[in-house]
Amino acid sequence: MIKQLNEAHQPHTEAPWQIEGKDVGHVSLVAQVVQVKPQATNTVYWLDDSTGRIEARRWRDSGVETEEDPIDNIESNSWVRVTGLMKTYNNKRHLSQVAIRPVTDPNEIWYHLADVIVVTLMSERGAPGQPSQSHTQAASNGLTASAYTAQSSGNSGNSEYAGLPRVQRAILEWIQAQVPCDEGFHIKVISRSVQATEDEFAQALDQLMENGHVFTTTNDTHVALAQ
Amino acid sequence: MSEFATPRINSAALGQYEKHTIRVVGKVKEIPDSTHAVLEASDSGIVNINALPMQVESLRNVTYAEIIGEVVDPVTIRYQSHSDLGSNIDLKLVDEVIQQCMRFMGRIF
Repeated sequence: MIKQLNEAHQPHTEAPWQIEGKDVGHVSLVAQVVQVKPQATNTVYWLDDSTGRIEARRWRDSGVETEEDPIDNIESNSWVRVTGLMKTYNNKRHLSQVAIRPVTDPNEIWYHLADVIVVTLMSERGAPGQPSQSHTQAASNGLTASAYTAQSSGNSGNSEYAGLPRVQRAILEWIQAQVPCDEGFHIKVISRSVQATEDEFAQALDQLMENGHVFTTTNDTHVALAQ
Repeated sequence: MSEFATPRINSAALGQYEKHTIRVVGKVKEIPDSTHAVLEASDSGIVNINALPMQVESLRNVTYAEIIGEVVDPVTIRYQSHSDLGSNIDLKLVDEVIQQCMRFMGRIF
């Protein structure tokens, strides 16, 4: 919720934002548009979701000359789904590189409220029940469920790795999702697609190699899945 | 709490939010006169809505609505605005979600 964004903590500039101590990348909101302000290079939306307000900026198509952005069909007071990145400018927080679309079914509002509660609690407590039961996408992806991220790092049907810790599972699922490659994948590329700190990633990779899930290929920086 | 916060609650919690601006979801039950409407809130409690004639008129053909308003007393709010929620809402389910939100008020909401 916007309150969580306004209270999020950024350890230092360029560091990922944190909500309740967990890193977040893209965020997703359902909110009401208080005001739409089309400007020269971007459109600014002022959003209100009952917990607070935040600005969201969407870049305008550079080919558009006129004042009114024709893509803008968003009306004031309407409910919208917004995804974007948290940024600060002049010490003010806002959502940047925003994708926005009208909410057509009001039930998306309650869905989002429930979604936020589930994700916030799961990032605190872990998935409900046994690790091997992945009921929902959120359960198997841990932090990367819809309320916090727009892109999920794995496929939800993969119960093969469900018993493993989150970061290890994310690494394995990412590799599985790629087109198979003989020389494996560069660990730097994998680490960019996995939500984890440097330490968490290094540790997870070590565990995976120790347990024989992955092995190094051409050199120390490339790994592949052990089939 | 943000200066802009408008907590979403049900009729039972109105008493705790006197003088605050809040949101209630419910069914527009009736329009007794030009400056009043009656809302059956998500928890089935009755909420009286005080509004200007134009605002009352805007609720006339509305089935389900989320009404934003200032709490006057535990059963009355002064209308500020509303969202038309259409006619496809399971009010009991919505109330369950709202109750969970109230549980986490201060932390998430």
